[in-house]
Amino acid sequence: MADKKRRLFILLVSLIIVVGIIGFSLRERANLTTIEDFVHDAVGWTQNIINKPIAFLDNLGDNINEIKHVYDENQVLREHIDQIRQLEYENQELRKEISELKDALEKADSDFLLNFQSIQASVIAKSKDQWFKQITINKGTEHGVQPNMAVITGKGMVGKVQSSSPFTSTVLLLNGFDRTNRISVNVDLEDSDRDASGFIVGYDEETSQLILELNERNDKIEEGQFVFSSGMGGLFPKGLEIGTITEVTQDKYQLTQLAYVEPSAELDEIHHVIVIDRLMTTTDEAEEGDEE
Amino acid sequence: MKSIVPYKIALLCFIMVLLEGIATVLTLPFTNDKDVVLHFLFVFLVLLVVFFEKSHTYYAILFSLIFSIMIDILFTSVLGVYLFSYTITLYAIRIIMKVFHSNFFVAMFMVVIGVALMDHIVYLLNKIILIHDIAWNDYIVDRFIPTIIWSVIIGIIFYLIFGKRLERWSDKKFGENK
Repeated sequence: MADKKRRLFILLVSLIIVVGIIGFSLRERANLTTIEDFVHDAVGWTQNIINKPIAFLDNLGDNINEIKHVYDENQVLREHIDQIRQLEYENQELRKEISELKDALEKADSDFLLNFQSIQASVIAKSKDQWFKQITINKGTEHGVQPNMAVITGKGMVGKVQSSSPFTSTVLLLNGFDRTNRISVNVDLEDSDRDASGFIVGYDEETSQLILELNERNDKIEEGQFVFSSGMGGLFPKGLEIGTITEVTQDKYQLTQLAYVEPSAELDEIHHVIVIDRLMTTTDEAEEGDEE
Repeated sequence: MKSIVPYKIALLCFIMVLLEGIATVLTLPFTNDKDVVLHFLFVFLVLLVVFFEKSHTYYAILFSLIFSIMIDILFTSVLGVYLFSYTITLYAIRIIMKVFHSNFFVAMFMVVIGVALMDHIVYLLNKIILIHDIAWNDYIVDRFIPTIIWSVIIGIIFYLIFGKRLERWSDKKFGENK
């Protein structure tokens, strides 16, 4: 009898503790507790080691697949090179012009794509539960990664740093974003001087596309246009590619214009990422960073 | 005489946690468009209850407490969901196992029952705290069935590797107490 009472007591106490822990972790918190930091780092360290041979084998398979298509790709790339040369020339001219104009304006701070420090990182683990859209990377506060930094791959933006421990960090992917961490974006309109602005407010699970809410109605928005971060949200620098518009619709009350955006980066298969540390440096430093 | 068997099991549990993080980075067969969750640790703990545990010991519950909170910290932004679902399910299996003998079919049956119960608790808890908003029908098709299939595959592999070994360790650890 006493044993049964004791068991019931233990059960109730542990239920209260579980509810307490869930409640504690549901709060908006920027920093992790020491225990969490320790677990993240200890597991991250071992994962880093185990990952190396696995990543090697994984890459080997990919490489063999790629070799098959090398010839075709080469032909296409050659054509591209000619176009790139022209672009490069244009780019150079434009950059000169910009710096001249900046000198004329005496504006020292630039906040464009070039103006950030990048931290290279590898993905060492992904959440086992697909409802939590997060991955773990092998760089932490010791390497300069801080919460809320933007995370990109070569193809485009993939997410932001959710929390960082000394040697590992957790990244929240774009498809886990909701209204509490939306991104301020611009839609690139080709034949117009002004870009259309809006917010990425969420992710549609069924079509696996991001939902873009536009600040004002704009008839020129069409499928295929590019969406970039605008730098107005405060967290992310300007000019990070997010995706392309695939569909333009209305919300259910016909009040705001919505668009569906296909993310440029493949969110399912991420192996290497770049963490973007937004800087407000002088143009000189930015140019140095660009030359590297 | 002190035995190192519990430490061996603890190390194996830790490796299971690592595997869960690494396996999701790789692409697995028949997982296209499906949300498969690989419960390496849970399947291992179920086998531990079936083959290792005696009626007076609580090793599986203890390891579940330690390593499920690790999973919570590493892979989810909410602490306590896996801690609760793993531990309560293993406790239930422990009670059921008093009736059954330990053999392969009982082990597979327990893996299926256990994963089914545990995943449903995870689904319900996450639904209550608004992590996701997925209808039960979609959950069954997209996540539950593939997860069960994979759990059985993992269960068979783990049985082949650890089944006999766990029984031997159990004899070694608890044999001299008789």
